[in-house]
Amino acid sequence: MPFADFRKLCKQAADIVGGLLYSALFLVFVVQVIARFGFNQPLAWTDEMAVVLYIWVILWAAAFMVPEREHVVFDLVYHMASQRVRRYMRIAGHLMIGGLSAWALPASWDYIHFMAREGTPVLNLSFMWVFLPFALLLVSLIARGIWQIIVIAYEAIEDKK
Amino acid sequence: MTAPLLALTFVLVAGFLLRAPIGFSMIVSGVAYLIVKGQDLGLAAEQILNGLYNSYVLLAVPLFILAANLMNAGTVSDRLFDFCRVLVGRLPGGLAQVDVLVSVVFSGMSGSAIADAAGPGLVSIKQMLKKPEYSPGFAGAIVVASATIGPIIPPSIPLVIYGLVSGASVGALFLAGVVPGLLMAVVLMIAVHIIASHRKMPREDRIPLSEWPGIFYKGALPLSLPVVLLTGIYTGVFTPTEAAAVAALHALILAGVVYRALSLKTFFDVILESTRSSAVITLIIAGAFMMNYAFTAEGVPQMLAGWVMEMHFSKVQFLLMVNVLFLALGCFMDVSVLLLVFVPILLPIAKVLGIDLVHFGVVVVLNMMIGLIHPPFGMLLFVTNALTGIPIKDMMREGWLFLVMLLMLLLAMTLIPEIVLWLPQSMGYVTQ
Repeated sequence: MPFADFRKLCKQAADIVGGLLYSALFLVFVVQVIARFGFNQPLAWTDEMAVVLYIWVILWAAAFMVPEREHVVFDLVYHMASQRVRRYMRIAGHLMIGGLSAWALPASWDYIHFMAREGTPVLNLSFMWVFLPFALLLVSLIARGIWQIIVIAYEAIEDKK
Repeated sequence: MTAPLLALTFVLVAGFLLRAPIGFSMIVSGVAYLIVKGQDLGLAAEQILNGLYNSYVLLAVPLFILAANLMNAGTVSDRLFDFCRVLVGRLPGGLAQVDVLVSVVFSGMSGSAIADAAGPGLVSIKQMLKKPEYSPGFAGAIVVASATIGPIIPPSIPLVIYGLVSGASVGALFLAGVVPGLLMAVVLMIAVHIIASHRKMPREDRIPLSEWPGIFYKGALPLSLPVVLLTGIYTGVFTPTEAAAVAALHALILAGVVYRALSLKTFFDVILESTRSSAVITLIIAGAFMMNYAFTAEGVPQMLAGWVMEMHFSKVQFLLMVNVLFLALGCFMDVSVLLLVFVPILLPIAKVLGIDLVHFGVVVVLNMMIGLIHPPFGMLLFVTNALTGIPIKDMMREGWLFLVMLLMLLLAMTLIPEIVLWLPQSMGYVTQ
Protein backbone atom coordinates (compact mmCIF):
# COMPACT_ATOMS: atom_id res chain seq x y z
CA MET A 1 0.00 0.00 0.00
CA PRO A 2 1.42 3.44 -0.90
CA PHE A 3 2.33 5.62 2.08
CA ALA A 4 -0.20 8.35 1.18
CA ASP A 5 -3.07 5.82 1.24
CA PHE A 6 -1.90 4.49 4.56
CA ARG A 7 -1.93 7.99 6.06
CA LYS A 8 -5.42 8.63 4.71
CA LEU A 9 -6.65 5.38 6.22
CA CYS A 10 -5.18 6.27 9.63
CA LYS A 11 -6.79 9.70 9.46
CA GLN A 12 -10.18 8.15 8.66
CA ALA A 13 -9.85 5.66 11.48
CA ALA A 14 -8.97 8.46 13.92
CA ASP A 15 -11.98 10.47 12.72
CA ILE A 16 -14.36 7.54 13.11
CA VAL A 17 -13.18 6.78 16.65
CA GLY A 18 -13.41 10.46 17.64
CA GLY A 19 -16.80 10.89 15.99
CA LEU A 20 -18.20 7.82 17.71
CA LEU A 21 -16.88 8.96 21.10
CA TYR A 22 -18.50 12.36 20.60
CA SER A 23 -21.79 10.82 19.47
CA ALA A 24 -21.71 8.62 22.56
CA LEU A 25 -21.19 11.71 24.74
CA PHE A 26 -24.23 13.38 23.20
CA LEU A 27 -26.28 10.19 23.51
CA VAL A 28 -25.43 9.83 27.20
CA PHE A 29 -26.80 13.32 27.76
CA VAL A 30 -29.94 12.59 25.81
CA VAL A 31 -30.48 9.49 27.98
CA GLN A 32 -29.86 11.54 31.12
CA VAL A 33 -32.31 14.28 30.14
CA ILE A 34 -34.99 11.78 29.10
CA ALA A 35 -34.56 9.74 32.27
CA ARG A 36 -34.79 12.82 34.45
CA PHE A 37 -37.53 14.76 32.77
CA GLY A 38 -39.36 12.02 30.92
CA PHE A 39 -39.42 9.36 33.64
CA ASN A 40 -38.42 11.40 36.68
CA GLN A 41 -35.66 8.86 37.36
CA PRO A 42 -32.27 10.58 37.67
CA LEU A 43 -29.42 8.25 36.67
CA ALA A 44 -26.13 8.20 38.56
CA TRP A 45 -23.92 6.73 35.87
CA THR A 46 -24.67 9.23 33.09
CA ASP A 47 -22.87 12.19 34.71
CA GLU A 48 -19.77 10.12 35.27
CA MET A 49 -19.85 8.48 31.85
CA ALA A 50 -20.22 11.91 30.22
CA VAL A 51 -17.12 13.28 31.95
CA VAL A 52 -15.05 10.22 31.03
CA LEU A 53 -16.16 10.42 27.39
CA TYR A 54 -15.49 14.14 27.43
CA ILE A 55 -11.85 13.65 28.48
CA TRP A 56 -11.41 11.01 25.78
CA VAL A 57 -13.06 13.08 23.06
CA ILE A 58 -11.07 16.23 23.77
CA LEU A 59 -7.66 14.63 24.14
CA TRP A 60 -8.17 12.09 21.34
CA ALA A 61 -9.25 14.83 18.95
CA ALA A 62 -6.39 17.10 20.00
CA ALA A 63 -3.94 14.22 19.47
CA PHE A 64 -5.16 12.72 16.21
CA MET A 65 -7.92 14.75 14.56
CA VAL A 66 -7.21 18.47 14.62
CA PRO A 67 -4.92 19.57 11.76
CA GLU A 68 -2.30 22.24 12.43
CA ARG A 69 -4.25 24.95 10.54
CA GLU A 70 -7.36 24.58 12.74
CA HIS A 71 -5.52 25.29 15.98
CA VAL A 72 -5.73 28.64 17.67
CA VAL A 73 -2.47 30.40 16.88
CA PHE A 74 -1.03 33.89 17.09
CA ASP A 75 0.25 34.60 13.60
CA LEU A 76 1.04 38.32 13.44
CA VAL A 77 4.81 37.82 13.76
CA TYR A 78 4.82 34.74 11.52
CA HIS A 79 3.16 36.64 8.70
CA MET A 80 5.84 39.33 8.85
CA ALA A 81 8.69 36.83 8.49
CA SER A 82 10.32 35.72 5.23
CA GLN A 83 9.86 32.20 3.87
CA ARG A 84 13.26 31.17 5.22
CA VAL A 85 12.68 32.58 8.69
CA ARG A 86 9.24 30.95 8.80
CA ARG A 87 10.87 27.55 8.33
CA TYR A 88 13.21 28.16 11.25
CA MET A 89 10.26 29.37 13.33
CA ARG A 90 8.25 26.23 12.61
CA ILE A 91 11.21 23.97 13.40
CA ALA A 92 11.82 25.85 16.67
CA GLY A 93 8.13 25.58 17.58
CA HIS A 94 8.02 21.83 16.95
CA LEU A 95 11.29 21.31 18.83
CA MET A 96 9.92 23.18 21.83
CA ILE A 97 6.49 21.50 21.96
CA GLY A 98 7.72 18.03 20.98
CA GLY A 99 10.80 18.26 23.21
CA LEU A 100 8.96 19.36 26.34
CA SER A 101 6.27 16.74 25.68
CA ALA A 102 8.97 14.07 25.49
CA TRP A 103 10.46 15.40 28.73
CA ALA A 104 7.08 15.19 30.46
CA LEU A 105 6.04 11.80 29.03
CA PRO A 106 7.72 9.37 31.50
CA ALA A 107 6.48 11.18 34.63
CA SER A 108 3.00 11.64 33.10
CA TRP A 109 2.81 7.93 32.33
CA ASP A 110 3.92 7.17 35.91
CA TYR A 111 1.05 9.28 37.22
CA ILE A 112 -1.52 7.73 34.86
CA HIS A 113 -0.29 4.23 35.63
CA PHE A 114 -0.33 4.99 39.36
CA MET A 115 -3.99 5.99 39.08
CA ALA A 116 -4.86 2.42 38.01
CA ARG A 117 -5.45 1.58 41.67
CA GLU A 118 -8.35 4.06 41.92
CA GLY A 119 -11.73 3.65 40.28
CA THR A 120 -14.47 6.16 39.44
CA PRO A 121 -17.17 6.34 42.16
CA VAL A 122 -20.16 4.93 40.28
CA LEU A 123 -18.89 2.76 37.43
CA ASN A 124 -15.64 1.76 39.17
CA LEU A 125 -13.75 2.40 35.96
CA SER A 126 -9.98 2.46 36.53
CA PHE A 127 -8.64 6.02 36.35
CA MET A 128 -5.77 4.71 34.28
CA TRP A 129 -8.23 4.17 31.45
CA VAL A 130 -9.92 7.50 32.08
CA PHE A 131 -6.63 9.41 31.94
CA LEU A 132 -4.86 7.34 29.26
CA PRO A 133 -5.56 9.74 26.34
CA PHE A 134 -3.28 12.36 27.92
CA ALA A 135 -0.33 10.01 27.31
CA LEU A 136 -1.58 9.48 23.75
CA LEU A 137 -1.64 13.26 23.28
CA LEU A 138 1.98 13.61 24.44
CA VAL A 139 3.09 10.75 22.16
CA SER A 140 1.31 12.34 19.22
CA LEU A 141 2.95 15.73 19.93
CA ILE A 142 6.39 14.09 19.93
CA ALA A 143 5.66 12.14 16.73
CA ARG A 144 4.15 15.16 15.03
CA GLY A 145 7.17 17.29 15.94
CA ILE A 146 9.66 14.78 14.52
CA TRP A 147 7.60 14.23 11.36
CA GLN A 148 7.07 17.94 10.70
CA ILE A 149 10.76 18.76 11.17
CA ILE A 150 11.63 16.07 8.61
CA VAL A 151 9.04 17.46 6.17
CA ILE A 152 10.26 21.04 6.61
CA ALA A 153 13.89 20.01 6.13
CA TYR A 154 12.94 18.03 3.02
CA GLU A 155 11.07 21.03 1.58
CA ALA A 156 14.05 23.27 2.22
CA ILE A 157 16.41 20.87 0.41
CA GLU A 158 13.99 20.49 -2.52
CA ASP A 159 13.70 24.28 -2.86
CA LYS A 160 17.47 24.67 -3.09
CA LYS A 161 17.72 22.29 -6.03
CA MET B 1 9.69 37.26 39.05
CA THR B 2 10.95 33.86 40.16
CA ALA B 3 12.98 31.63 37.82
CA PRO B 4 10.23 28.98 37.35
CA LEU B 5 7.69 31.68 36.51
CA LEU B 6 10.19 33.21 34.11
CA ALA B 7 10.59 29.83 32.36
CA LEU B 8 6.81 29.53 32.04
CA THR B 9 6.49 33.03 30.58
CA PHE B 10 9.40 32.44 28.21
CA VAL B 11 7.97 29.21 26.74
CA LEU B 12 4.50 30.72 26.49
CA VAL B 13 5.66 33.85 24.69
CA ALA B 14 8.01 31.82 22.46
CA GLY B 15 5.08 29.56 21.53
CA PHE B 16 2.95 32.58 20.66
CA LEU B 17 5.66 34.19 18.54
CA LEU B 18 6.58 30.96 16.73
CA ARG B 19 2.94 30.38 15.78
CA ALA B 20 2.74 27.16 17.77
CA PRO B 21 -0.82 26.12 18.77
CA ILE B 22 -1.65 28.17 21.87
CA GLY B 23 -3.20 25.28 23.82
CA PHE B 24 -0.07 23.17 23.39
CA SER B 25 2.15 26.13 24.26
CA MET B 26 0.25 26.65 27.51
CA ILE B 27 0.56 22.99 28.46
CA VAL B 28 4.30 22.76 27.78
CA SER B 29 4.94 26.12 29.47
CA GLY B 30 3.60 24.41 32.59
CA VAL B 31 6.04 21.56 31.98
CA ALA B 32 8.90 24.07 31.69
CA TYR B 33 7.77 25.63 34.98
CA LEU B 34 7.88 22.25 36.73
CA ILE B 35 11.33 21.44 35.26
CA VAL B 36 12.89 24.69 36.52
CA LYS B 37 11.12 24.36 39.85
CA GLY B 38 12.48 20.81 40.15
CA GLN B 39 9.04 19.33 40.81
CA ASP B 40 7.54 16.05 39.63
CA LEU B 41 6.58 16.47 35.95
CA GLY B 42 3.60 14.19 36.54
CA LEU B 43 1.97 17.22 38.19
CA ALA B 44 1.17 18.56 34.73
CA ALA B 45 -0.87 15.46 33.89
CA GLU B 46 -2.46 15.52 37.35
CA GLN B 47 -3.52 19.19 37.19
CA ILE B 48 -4.88 19.01 33.65
CA LEU B 49 -6.67 15.67 33.98
CA ASN B 50 -8.23 16.42 37.35
CA GLY B 51 -9.16 19.89 36.15
CA LEU B 52 -11.05 18.37 33.24
CA TYR B 53 -12.53 15.57 35.33
CA ASN B 54 -13.92 17.96 37.95
CA SER B 55 -15.28 20.65 35.63
CA TYR B 56 -18.69 19.25 34.89
CA VAL B 57 -19.96 22.64 33.77
CA LEU B 58 -17.37 22.59 30.96
CA LEU B 59 -19.39 19.84 29.27
CA ALA B 60 -21.79 22.56 28.21
CA VAL B 61 -19.10 23.77 25.80
CA PRO B 62 -19.06 20.84 23.32
CA LEU B 63 -22.85 20.57 23.55
CA PHE B 64 -23.40 24.24 22.76
CA ILE B 65 -20.93 23.93 19.89
CA LEU B 66 -22.85 20.92 18.58
CA ALA B 67 -26.12 22.83 18.86
CA ALA B 68 -24.67 25.76 16.95
CA ASN B 69 -23.19 23.54 14.22
CA LEU B 70 -26.42 21.59 13.87
CA MET B 71 -28.38 24.81 13.55
CA ASN B 72 -25.91 25.86 10.90
CA ALA B 73 -25.92 22.65 8.87
CA GLY B 74 -29.68 22.38 9.26
CA THR B 75 -30.17 25.87 7.81
CA VAL B 76 -31.49 27.10 11.18
CA SER B 77 -28.93 29.93 11.21
CA ASP B 78 -30.00 30.83 7.66
CA ARG B 79 -33.64 30.99 8.69
CA LEU B 80 -32.80 33.19 11.65
CA PHE B 81 -30.81 35.27 9.21
CA ASP B 82 -33.83 35.63 6.88
CA PHE B 83 -36.02 36.46 9.86
CA CYS B 84 -33.72 39.28 10.94
CA ARG B 85 -33.26 40.45 7.35
CA VAL B 86 -36.95 41.24 7.20
CA LEU B 87 -36.59 43.33 10.36
CA VAL B 88 -33.44 45.40 9.73
CA GLY B 89 -32.19 44.54 6.23
CA ARG B 90 -33.47 47.80 4.78
CA LEU B 91 -31.06 49.91 6.83
CA PRO B 92 -27.78 51.01 5.21
CA GLY B 93 -25.22 48.22 5.65
CA GLY B 94 -28.21 45.92 6.06
CA LEU B 95 -26.25 42.67 6.27
CA ALA B 96 -24.10 43.98 9.13
CA GLN B 97 -27.22 45.14 10.99
CA VAL B 98 -28.77 41.73 10.41
CA ASP B 99 -25.64 40.13 11.87
CA VAL B 100 -25.99 42.13 15.10
CA LEU B 101 -29.65 41.20 15.46
CA VAL B 102 -28.99 37.51 14.70
CA SER B 103 -26.35 37.57 17.43
CA VAL B 104 -28.93 38.84 19.90
CA VAL B 105 -31.39 36.08 19.00
CA PHE B 106 -28.68 33.42 18.95
CA SER B 107 -27.41 34.63 22.35
CA GLY B 108 -30.65 33.40 23.82
CA MET B 109 -29.73 29.87 22.77
CA SER B 110 -25.99 29.77 23.15
CA GLY B 111 -23.76 30.65 26.06
CA SER B 112 -20.51 31.16 24.28
CA ALA B 113 -19.15 33.92 22.09
CA ILE B 114 -17.02 31.42 20.17
CA ALA B 115 -20.09 29.39 19.18
CA ASP B 116 -21.80 32.58 18.03
CA ALA B 117 -18.87 33.56 15.82
CA ALA B 118 -18.57 30.00 14.50
CA GLY B 119 -22.32 29.60 13.91
CA PRO B 120 -24.40 32.56 12.75
CA GLY B 121 -21.27 34.71 12.47
CA LEU B 122 -20.00 32.46 9.72
CA VAL B 123 -23.36 32.70 7.90
CA SER B 124 -23.17 36.51 8.07
CA ILE B 125 -19.57 36.61 6.84
CA LYS B 126 -20.39 34.40 3.84
CA GLN B 127 -23.35 36.63 2.94
CA MET B 128 -21.34 39.84 3.31
CA LEU B 129 -18.42 38.56 1.24
CA LYS B 130 -20.79 38.04 -1.70
CA LYS B 131 -21.07 41.82 -1.95
CA PRO B 132 -18.00 43.88 -2.84
CA GLU B 133 -19.08 46.81 -0.64
CA TYR B 134 -18.26 44.78 2.48
CA SER B 135 -14.53 44.31 2.94
CA PRO B 136 -13.46 41.00 4.54
CA GLY B 137 -11.94 42.96 7.43
CA PHE B 138 -15.22 44.77 8.12
CA ALA B 139 -17.26 41.55 7.87
CA GLY B 140 -14.93 39.82 10.33
CA ALA B 141 -14.86 42.84 12.65
CA ILE B 142 -18.65 43.18 13.03
CA VAL B 143 -19.04 39.43 13.48
CA VAL B 144 -16.50 39.22 16.31
CA ALA B 145 -17.88 42.40 17.91
CA SER B 146 -21.47 41.13 17.85
CA ALA B 147 -20.40 37.67 19.04
CA THR B 148 -19.43 39.24 22.39
CA ILE B 149 -23.15 39.67 23.08
CA GLY B 150 -23.48 35.86 23.38
CA PRO B 151 -22.30 35.38 26.96
CA ILE B 152 -23.94 38.59 28.24
CA ILE B 153 -27.50 37.70 27.21
CA PRO B 154 -28.39 34.47 29.03
CA PRO B 155 -27.68 31.59 28.98
CA SER B 156 -24.03 32.29 29.59
CA ILE B 157 -21.19 29.96 30.48
CA PRO B 158 -18.91 32.68 31.95
CA LEU B 159 -21.75 33.95 34.19
CA VAL B 160 -22.40 30.41 35.45
CA ILE B 161 -18.72 30.02 36.33
CA TYR B 162 -18.74 33.45 38.00
CA GLY B 163 -21.81 32.41 39.98
CA LEU B 164 -19.94 29.35 41.24
CA VAL B 165 -16.87 31.40 42.20
CA SER B 166 -18.69 34.30 43.86
CA GLY B 167 -21.77 32.66 45.32
CA ALA B 168 -23.97 35.22 43.55
CA SER B 169 -27.30 33.91 42.29
CA VAL B 170 -27.03 32.58 38.75
CA GLY B 171 -30.67 33.53 38.10
CA ALA B 172 -29.99 37.15 39.14
CA LEU B 173 -26.82 37.20 37.06
CA PHE B 174 -28.73 35.98 34.01
CA LEU B 175 -31.44 38.61 34.46
CA ALA B 176 -28.75 41.25 34.97
CA GLY B 177 -27.23 40.37 31.59
CA VAL B 178 -30.38 41.09 29.57
CA VAL B 179 -30.32 44.92 29.52
CA PRO B 180 -26.54 45.26 28.99
CA GLY B 181 -26.75 42.67 26.18
CA LEU B 182 -29.48 44.61 24.41
CA LEU B 183 -27.55 47.87 24.90
CA MET B 184 -24.50 46.24 23.29
CA ALA B 185 -26.63 45.49 20.26
CA VAL B 186 -27.86 49.10 20.17
CA VAL B 187 -24.38 50.67 20.32
CA LEU B 188 -23.05 48.25 17.69
CA MET B 189 -25.98 49.03 15.40
CA ILE B 190 -25.27 52.75 15.81
CA ALA B 191 -21.61 52.11 14.91
CA VAL B 192 -22.62 50.07 11.85
CA HIS B 193 -25.01 52.83 10.81
CA ILE B 194 -22.25 55.46 11.02
CA ILE B 195 -19.80 53.37 8.99
CA ALA B 196 -22.40 52.16 6.49
CA SER B 197 -23.74 55.66 5.79
CA HIS B 198 -20.22 56.98 5.39
CA ARG B 199 -19.13 54.21 3.01
CA LYS B 200 -22.47 54.00 1.19
CA MET B 201 -22.97 50.33 2.00
CA PRO B 202 -25.97 48.72 0.28
CA ARG B 203 -29.44 48.18 1.75
CA GLU B 204 -30.96 44.74 1.24
CA ASP B 205 -33.73 44.33 -1.33
CA ARG B 206 -37.24 44.78 -0.07
CA ILE B 207 -38.84 41.44 0.77
CA PRO B 208 -42.42 41.18 -0.55
CA LEU B 209 -45.07 41.27 2.17
CA SER B 210 -46.51 37.98 0.94
CA GLU B 211 -43.28 36.17 1.97
CA TRP B 212 -43.27 37.56 5.52
CA PRO B 213 -45.57 35.01 7.17
CA GLY B 214 -43.50 32.06 5.86
CA ILE B 215 -40.22 33.62 7.03
CA PHE B 216 -41.66 34.49 10.44
CA TYR B 217 -43.09 31.00 10.85
CA LYS B 218 -39.76 29.35 10.03
CA GLY B 219 -37.86 31.81 12.23
CA ALA B 220 -40.25 31.35 15.14
CA LEU B 221 -39.44 27.65 15.54
CA PRO B 222 -35.81 28.19 16.50
CA LEU B 223 -36.95 31.14 18.63
CA SER B 224 -38.96 28.75 20.81
CA LEU B 225 -35.68 27.33 22.14
CA PRO B 226 -34.54 30.33 24.20
CA VAL B 227 -37.92 30.37 25.89
CA VAL B 228 -37.62 26.71 26.89
CA LEU B 229 -33.98 27.09 27.96
CA LEU B 230 -34.45 30.23 30.01
CA THR B 231 -37.56 28.96 31.75
CA GLY B 232 -35.73 25.71 32.50
CA ILE B 233 -32.65 27.41 33.92
CA TYR B 234 -34.54 30.13 35.88
CA THR B 235 -36.85 27.67 37.51
CA GLY B 236 -33.90 25.44 38.29
CA VAL B 237 -35.25 22.50 36.31
CA PHE B 238 -32.14 22.23 34.11
CA THR B 239 -28.51 22.50 35.05
CA PRO B 240 -26.74 24.69 32.51
CA THR B 241 -25.09 21.57 31.07
CA GLU B 242 -28.43 19.83 30.61
CA ALA B 243 -29.77 22.99 29.02
CA ALA B 244 -26.94 22.74 26.52
CA ALA B 245 -27.90 19.12 25.78
CA VAL B 246 -31.53 20.15 25.31
CA ALA B 247 -30.37 22.89 22.94
CA ALA B 248 -28.42 20.37 20.86
CA LEU B 249 -31.34 17.95 20.81
CA HIS B 250 -33.72 20.75 19.84
CA ALA B 251 -31.40 21.76 16.99
CA LEU B 252 -31.13 18.14 15.85
CA ILE B 253 -34.90 17.72 15.74
CA LEU B 254 -35.38 21.04 13.93
CA ALA B 255 -32.66 20.38 11.37
CA GLY B 256 -33.31 16.67 10.86
CA VAL B 257 -37.05 16.25 11.28
CA VAL B 258 -38.71 19.63 10.77
CA TYR B 259 -36.57 21.20 8.06
CA ARG B 260 -35.29 17.87 6.69
CA ALA B 261 -32.02 19.57 5.91
CA LEU B 262 -29.71 16.99 7.46
CA SER B 263 -28.51 13.82 5.76
CA LEU B 264 -26.67 11.12 7.69
CA LYS B 265 -23.43 12.14 5.98
CA THR B 266 -23.91 15.80 6.92
CA PHE B 267 -24.74 14.76 10.45
CA PHE B 268 -21.49 12.85 10.82
CA ASP B 269 -19.56 15.75 9.30
CA VAL B 270 -21.17 18.06 11.84
CA ILE B 271 -20.14 15.64 14.60
CA LEU B 272 -16.54 15.62 13.38
CA GLU B 273 -16.42 19.38 13.03
CA SER B 274 -17.88 19.84 16.53
CA THR B 275 -15.39 17.34 17.93
CA ARG B 276 -12.48 19.26 16.47
CA SER B 277 -13.70 22.72 17.56
CA SER B 278 -14.48 21.44 21.06
CA ALA B 279 -10.98 20.00 21.28
CA VAL B 280 -9.32 23.21 20.13
CA ILE B 281 -11.16 25.29 22.72
CA THR B 282 -10.96 22.82 25.60
CA LEU B 283 -7.24 22.35 24.98
CA ILE B 284 -6.75 25.99 25.92
CA ILE B 285 -8.81 25.51 29.07
CA ALA B 286 -6.64 22.46 29.86
CA GLY B 287 -3.56 24.63 29.44
CA ALA B 288 -5.18 27.20 31.73
CA PHE B 289 -5.51 24.59 34.49
CA MET B 290 -1.76 24.06 34.39
CA MET B 291 -0.95 27.76 34.35
CA ASN B 292 -3.50 28.35 37.07
CA TYR B 293 -1.60 25.86 39.23
CA ALA B 294 1.71 27.62 38.58
CA PHE B 295 0.31 31.09 39.31
CA THR B 296 -1.31 29.93 42.54
CA ALA B 297 1.86 28.11 43.66
CA GLU B 298 3.93 31.24 43.01
CA GLY B 299 1.49 33.42 44.95
CA VAL B 300 0.75 35.71 42.02
CA PRO B 301 -2.85 36.32 43.17
CA GLN B 302 -1.80 37.22 46.73
CA MET B 303 0.86 39.59 45.42
CA LEU B 304 -1.72 41.41 43.33
CA ALA B 305 -4.28 41.53 46.13
CA GLY B 306 -1.76 42.98 48.57
CA TRP B 307 -0.80 45.62 46.06
CA VAL B 308 -4.45 46.56 45.48
CA MET B 309 -5.23 46.85 49.21
CA GLU B 310 -2.27 49.20 49.75
CA MET B 311 -3.72 51.65 47.27
CA HIS B 312 -6.84 52.47 49.38
CA PHE B 313 -9.22 52.73 46.46
CA SER B 314 -12.77 54.11 46.50
CA LYS B 315 -15.56 51.99 45.00
CA VAL B 316 -15.44 53.67 41.61
CA GLN B 317 -11.65 53.84 41.52
CA PHE B 318 -11.50 50.13 42.32
CA LEU B 319 -13.97 49.21 39.58
CA LEU B 320 -12.13 51.35 37.05
CA MET B 321 -8.85 49.80 38.10
CA VAL B 322 -10.33 46.31 37.78
CA ASN B 323 -11.47 47.20 34.27
CA VAL B 324 -8.04 48.44 33.22
CA LEU B 325 -6.40 45.41 34.83
CA PHE B 326 -8.71 42.90 33.15
CA LEU B 327 -8.49 44.58 29.77
CA ALA B 328 -4.71 44.28 30.06
CA LEU B 329 -4.77 40.69 31.34
CA GLY B 330 -7.37 39.79 28.72
CA CYS B 331 -4.64 40.49 26.16
CA PHE B 332 -2.88 37.27 26.96
CA MET B 333 -5.07 35.21 29.23
CA ASP B 334 -8.11 33.10 28.59
CA VAL B 335 -11.48 33.99 30.09
CA SER B 336 -11.40 30.84 32.23
CA VAL B 337 -8.04 31.81 33.74
CA LEU B 338 -9.29 35.31 34.53
CA LEU B 339 -12.49 33.95 36.03
CA LEU B 340 -10.90 31.16 38.03
CA VAL B 341 -7.64 32.81 39.11
CA PHE B 342 -8.06 36.57 39.25
CA VAL B 343 -11.73 37.09 40.08
CA PRO B 344 -11.51 35.15 43.38
CA ILE B 345 -8.69 37.47 44.54
CA LEU B 346 -10.70 40.57 43.79
CA LEU B 347 -14.01 39.36 45.24
CA PRO B 348 -13.11 39.93 48.91
CA ILE B 349 -12.01 43.49 48.11
CA ALA B 350 -15.23 44.11 46.17
CA LYS B 351 -17.25 42.87 49.15
CA VAL B 352 -15.34 45.11 51.60
CA LEU B 353 -15.98 48.11 49.35
CA GLY B 354 -19.71 47.28 49.23
CA ILE B 355 -19.85 46.57 45.50
CA ASP B 356 -22.83 44.43 44.49
CA LEU B 357 -21.58 41.04 43.33
CA VAL B 358 -24.07 40.76 40.47
CA HIS B 359 -23.03 44.19 39.19
CA PHE B 360 -19.38 43.23 39.57
CA GLY B 361 -19.90 39.93 37.73
CA VAL B 362 -21.63 41.40 34.69
CA VAL B 363 -19.06 44.23 34.42
CA VAL B 364 -16.18 41.77 34.67
CA VAL B 365 -17.68 39.37 32.11
CA LEU B 366 -18.40 42.18 29.63
CA ASN B 367 -14.83 43.32 30.14
CA MET B 368 -13.59 39.83 29.34
CA MET B 369 -15.73 39.68 26.23
CA ILE B 370 -14.12 42.90 25.05
CA GLY B 371 -10.81 41.20 25.84
CA LEU B 372 -11.79 38.52 23.31
CA ILE B 373 -11.79 41.06 20.50
CA HIS B 374 -9.09 43.56 21.37
CA PRO B 375 -5.58 43.28 20.05
CA PRO B 376 -3.11 41.70 20.32
CA PHE B 377 -4.47 38.37 21.64
CA GLY B 378 -8.24 38.32 21.13
CA MET B 379 -9.53 34.76 21.11
CA LEU B 380 -12.52 35.61 18.90
CA LEU B 381 -10.17 37.15 16.37
CA PHE B 382 -8.18 33.91 16.33
CA VAL B 383 -11.25 31.73 15.92
CA THR B 384 -12.74 33.84 13.15
CA ASN B 385 -9.37 33.91 11.43
CA ALA B 386 -9.14 30.12 11.69
CA LEU B 387 -12.65 29.66 10.28
CA THR B 388 -12.59 32.19 7.45
CA GLY B 389 -8.95 33.01 6.75
CA ILE B 390 -9.64 36.75 7.17
CA PRO B 391 -6.32 38.20 8.46
CA ILE B 392 -6.43 39.39 12.07
CA LYS B 393 -4.81 42.71 11.24
CA ASP B 394 -7.62 43.53 8.76
CA MET B 395 -10.25 42.83 11.43
CA MET B 396 -8.34 45.03 13.89
CA ARG B 397 -8.11 47.87 11.39
CA GLU B 398 -11.82 47.77 10.58
CA GLY B 399 -13.06 47.06 14.07
CA TRP B 400 -11.80 49.98 16.14
CA LEU B 401 -15.12 51.85 16.21
CA PHE B 402 -16.95 48.77 17.53
CA LEU B 403 -14.29 48.42 20.20
CA VAL B 404 -14.63 52.07 21.23
CA MET B 405 -18.44 51.77 21.42
CA LEU B 406 -18.26 48.67 23.61
CA LEU B 407 -15.65 50.30 25.86
CA MET B 408 -17.92 53.32 26.32
CA LEU B 409 -20.78 51.02 27.28
CA LEU B 410 -18.49 49.21 29.73
CA LEU B 411 -17.59 52.55 31.31
CA ALA B 412 -21.27 53.51 31.59
CA MET B 413 -22.12 50.16 33.22
CA THR B 414 -19.22 50.55 35.63
CA LEU B 415 -20.28 54.02 36.74
CA ILE B 416 -24.07 53.44 36.72
CA PRO B 417 -24.86 50.10 38.43
CA GLU B 418 -28.58 50.60 37.74
CA ILE B 419 -28.07 49.66 34.07
CA VAL B 420 -27.16 46.18 35.26
CA LEU B 421 -29.23 45.94 38.42
CA TRP B 422 -32.52 47.48 37.32
CA LEU B 423 -34.05 44.33 35.82
CA PRO B 424 -33.05 41.85 38.56
CA GLN B 425 -34.17 44.35 41.22
CA SER B 426 -37.52 44.87 39.59
CA MET B 427 -37.91 41.07 39.62
CA GLY B 428 -37.21 40.91 43.33
CA TYR B 429 -33.42 40.63 43.60
CA VAL B 430 -32.16 42.42 46.73
CA THR B 431 -28.77 44.12 46.32
CA GLN B 432 -26.17 43.83 49.07
